This record gives sequence, structure tokens and C-alpha cells, in this order.
Amino acid sequence: MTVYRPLGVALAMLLLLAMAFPQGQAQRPPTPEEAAVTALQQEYQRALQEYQRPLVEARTDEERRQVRLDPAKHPGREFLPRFRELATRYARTPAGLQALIQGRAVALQLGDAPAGEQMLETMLADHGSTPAFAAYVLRMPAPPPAPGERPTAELMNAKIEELLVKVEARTTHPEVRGAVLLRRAFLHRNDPDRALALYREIDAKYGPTEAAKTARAAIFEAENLVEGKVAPDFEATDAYGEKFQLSDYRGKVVVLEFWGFW
Amino acid sequence: LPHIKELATSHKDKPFAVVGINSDSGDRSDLQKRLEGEGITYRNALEGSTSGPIATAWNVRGWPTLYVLDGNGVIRRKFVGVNPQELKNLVEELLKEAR
Repeated sequence: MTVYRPLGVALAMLLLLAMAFPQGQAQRPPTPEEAAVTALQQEYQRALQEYQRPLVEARTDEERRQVRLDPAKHPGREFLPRFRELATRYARTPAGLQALIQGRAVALQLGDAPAGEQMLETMLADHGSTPAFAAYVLRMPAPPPAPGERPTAELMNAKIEELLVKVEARTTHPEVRGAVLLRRAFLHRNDPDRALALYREIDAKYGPTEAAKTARAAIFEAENLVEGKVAPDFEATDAYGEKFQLSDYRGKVVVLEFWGFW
Repeated sequence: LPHIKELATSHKDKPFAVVGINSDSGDRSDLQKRLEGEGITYRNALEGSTSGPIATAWNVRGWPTLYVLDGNGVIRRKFVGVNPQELKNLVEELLKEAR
């Protein structure tokens, strides 16, 4: 079971990243081309769920271990060429990028590293200097471990780092280069000094980008939101419309809880 | 978080407060309904989304995130995800310190 823990950690990280970078800053309705890619994506998700159903329905770890999914029946085999076809049809448009991103995800799920690499190559060539690609840099998954490799967090980080080096060498776009540094800072989140140095570098070099906004927030956190510092004050409106400030609670021990029901 | 509700209730006569920064989507009446449904009486700021002004200013990227402040407003501990027992112990320790 320990083998799967890094994957759990990776998933948790992805969730955090997904929350930190809500998709599509500028909300516009999808083009028909984008809608076509989304429809294929949904069709693939349904097929994948069907394929994985025995795992979901297994009630105990023992039962899960008994489940054998036939790799020959993985729906990715059917869907990878379909994503590729859309990527070609919509080449050099946002829908094309979306198809490449999904296609790469499918290739990685299949364990088809060369196909994944090829998709990334096309992304770099056609979209390497777009903000949409910068958003992908922040969440692009690492290729799966090679047979025999243990998927430790270190290994997966090293694989991402390898991708980042490749991306960095191929673009001069500040948004994308900022995203590369930002992803690197996330990789080094357990080494706060190193992460902070990267955040400062982003702020210094790529000031007006989205990446730098995130970096400045992280710098603010590292400088002000640490043990031993007085918490910065804020004003807020509560659920009943009443205004209050954090400093109203001076003299009390306070648990400040960022939360949601979801 | 049920254990936070408990904490708020069990220390209600002490110099202690829970302040929630709620990141659910929705408006004031949605939040009121949900708080009342759960019997949550401590104060909650309405953020309306995960990218609300306070969570953004405080660079919150995972939920729940908790900060524990002492009576001087000094940050004593930050939790991303939380161990209820650890939190309870820390709060009790800080309350003792304040006396």
C-alpha cells in the first residue's frame, strides 16, 4: 500500500493547485471547437469510469487486490487517437491546446510516455508562448514512473523538474517563464528559503504577470503570516451583514478558521 | 468542522473566540441558512468563493487552514489541515498563559 502514498500526496497537491488557480480567468463562452473537445473529454471520463468500475465496487482492500483490469481494454487506447485527431483539426487554436492537454493526460494514463512527449512537443511548438500554456505549466502532470521505478515524491518531482527545464529552454514568454519558476517554487515548498528565493525572482523578473501576483502573495505570507508575528488586520462582513475587524478580538485567544462546507 | 464548533462551545466563558472565514460560494442568506442548519454560532466572514478577499490576502491555498492567535494578536501556530487534539491542547495552553 505504501507504494500508492506518493500518488495520494500528488493528488492532494493537484487539488490544492486546482483551487489556487481556478480555470479561465477571463470567462468567455466556449467556442464550438472547445465544446467538441470537452464533449470528447466527458465521453472519455464515462468510459474510464466504466472500465474502473470493478475497483470502485470492491468493498475491501482484499477485494481490490483481486481486481484485474485488462490493459488491452483501457479506453485510452480508443480515445488517444481521437484526441490527437481533434488536436490536428484545431491546431494552433485554444481548442487545439485543450485537445493536446487531454491527449497527453490520456497517454500518461496509458503509460505511453512517447505519445505524451509528442503531445508536449506540439504544445511547445504551437502554444509555448501563450498564457493558456502558462496555466498548464502550473499543473502539468509528470510522466508515469518507468517499469521498476518507485513513484516516490522525489522521483515525481524530478520528472516535473525535467519537464520544466525543457519548457524553459523553449519559451521567452514572461507568463510562461514565470509559471516555470512558480511551479519550481511549489516543488520546493518543503524548503521555505528556496521557495521564497524563487518567489522573489519571479516578482523581480516578471512583475506584471499572473505568476508574479501569486508570488507576491506567497512573499507576503512568508514575511507576515508566520509564527511570532502579529497577524495583519482585516475588515470583513459577517453572515448577518455586520462589519468587524480581526483586531476587535485583541485580548482573546483566536482560532481563525478558513473553511467551507462544500 | 464539528470539533471547532465544540471548541467554541466549551470555551465560551473564556477569553476565546473562533472566527470563521467561509469560502463557500453563495450569498449572505445561503451562508446564514447553512450556519443555522449546522448550529454554528461563532462569527463567520462571508467570502463568497475560495478566491475571496481575505483568503487571497492571506494566500490561503488549502482548506481548512487555521491560524491560532494569542491575546496579543500574535500568530502562534498555523495549521493546513488540522489535528483536533493538537488544536485543543494548544488553545488550552494559550488560555492558561493568558491568565
